[in-house]
Amino acid sequence: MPAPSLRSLAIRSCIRHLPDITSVGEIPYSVLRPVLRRIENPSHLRTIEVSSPHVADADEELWKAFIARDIPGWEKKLAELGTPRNARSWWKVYRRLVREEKEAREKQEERLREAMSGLTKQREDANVSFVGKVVPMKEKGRAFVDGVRNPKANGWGGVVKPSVKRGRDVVAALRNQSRQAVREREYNLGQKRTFTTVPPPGTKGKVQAAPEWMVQELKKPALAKPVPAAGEGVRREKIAVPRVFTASKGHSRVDAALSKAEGQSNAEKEARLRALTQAKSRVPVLAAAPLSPPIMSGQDRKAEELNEPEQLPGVGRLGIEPTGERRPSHAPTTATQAMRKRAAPAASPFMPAKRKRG
Amino acid sequence: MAEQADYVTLVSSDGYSYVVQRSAACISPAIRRMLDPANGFLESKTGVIRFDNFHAILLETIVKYMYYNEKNKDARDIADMDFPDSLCLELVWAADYLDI
Repeated sequence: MPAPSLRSLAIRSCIRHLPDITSVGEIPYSVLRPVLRRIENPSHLRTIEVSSPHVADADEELWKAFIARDIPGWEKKLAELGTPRNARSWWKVYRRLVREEKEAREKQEERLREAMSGLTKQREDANVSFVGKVVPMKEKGRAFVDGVRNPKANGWGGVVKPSVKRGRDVVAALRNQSRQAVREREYNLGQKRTFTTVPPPGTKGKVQAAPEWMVQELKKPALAKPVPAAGEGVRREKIAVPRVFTASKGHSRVDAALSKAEGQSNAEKEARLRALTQAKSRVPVLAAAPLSPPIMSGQDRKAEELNEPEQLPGVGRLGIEPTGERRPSHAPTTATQAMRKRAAPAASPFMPAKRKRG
Repeated sequence: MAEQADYVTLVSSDGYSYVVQRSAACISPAIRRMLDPANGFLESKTGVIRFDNFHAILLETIVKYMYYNEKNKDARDIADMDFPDSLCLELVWAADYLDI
């Protein structure tokens, strides 16, 4: 390829040094067109126009390019404005359109800001914040002042002792106090009140750690089908099936008793299971149905079946036997002897008596 | 027909003369026309062309380019010729004028 033309060399050089060009002297627009097209800043073009006015006569296409680049919806706007009377004032068209665009955007932003501030205000109002004192509340006086009950401090407007003068009155006052205290304590425990702390911002909805009940579950050795112990027949109030695990801990006496009973039954089950697994090596087949569920009430059975995922896979849910029937095991091993034998079905006029084979 | 001299003189606006080979100068169609005796220009007889619109440094760069072009007529992928940056605008204009 022969040498490049001087013109191309010069134009390339001009483009390289475009930022430094502020005037083009007398050079006609047609000659400089490839260079001027590369201008990115409209104000730069305006500077060149000012120094060399003949450029402004011919650079309509450049200003149109700027308009198309910078102003959205320029076609419509340009059609509305039409061509300027003076061909040299295309830069004014550009300036006007840019100004209008800026105003429109600012108006939009203002509107959006107002809307947003309205929303944030709502959110702020809904937020709970701690305040020191909003309404002057009656100062709750200390119940005890210097070891002596403060008659001015009103508990629940309850016990108001007359000023104690005699010894036996003092004793009576003390006894009353202790009774009050017990009543207060019981009051709180009787209710199932759970207090949740306000989570730190940004954490709501995010799981920080596994819930406690889940951790406990995993720690517990997985048991086979649990045998309902003494306490389990009694359904705890309002805990329906399936069990809902909440963070609340029931501390009522009823709950305490039930959990104690459950603990005992769990201990029993664990002991049984341990015995079984040790005896497992001697048992050839799992025909000795371990922990075969005894007769249960219909409701309980559903509950127990839902507990199935807790079982060990080995000690399956009577995997050998078909679901409906329950045959009494004939292999008397030490394991089964520990088990409760299923009660023999009562004789019924409708059913022929079972005959033992062999 | 008078024998065409091998060299022509190009004179700048500020009086500097550059003697160049005719073949090199005729890279520019404009100069070739000027030097063509058929067109009846004075320059064709004298072999001296005066450029009132080019100053010395610009003319020198143009002459440089003429030789650069002639030398690399058959070459491939040659480096661009170097010239002072301040001339770039004028050079565009001169190149357009001379059509080179």
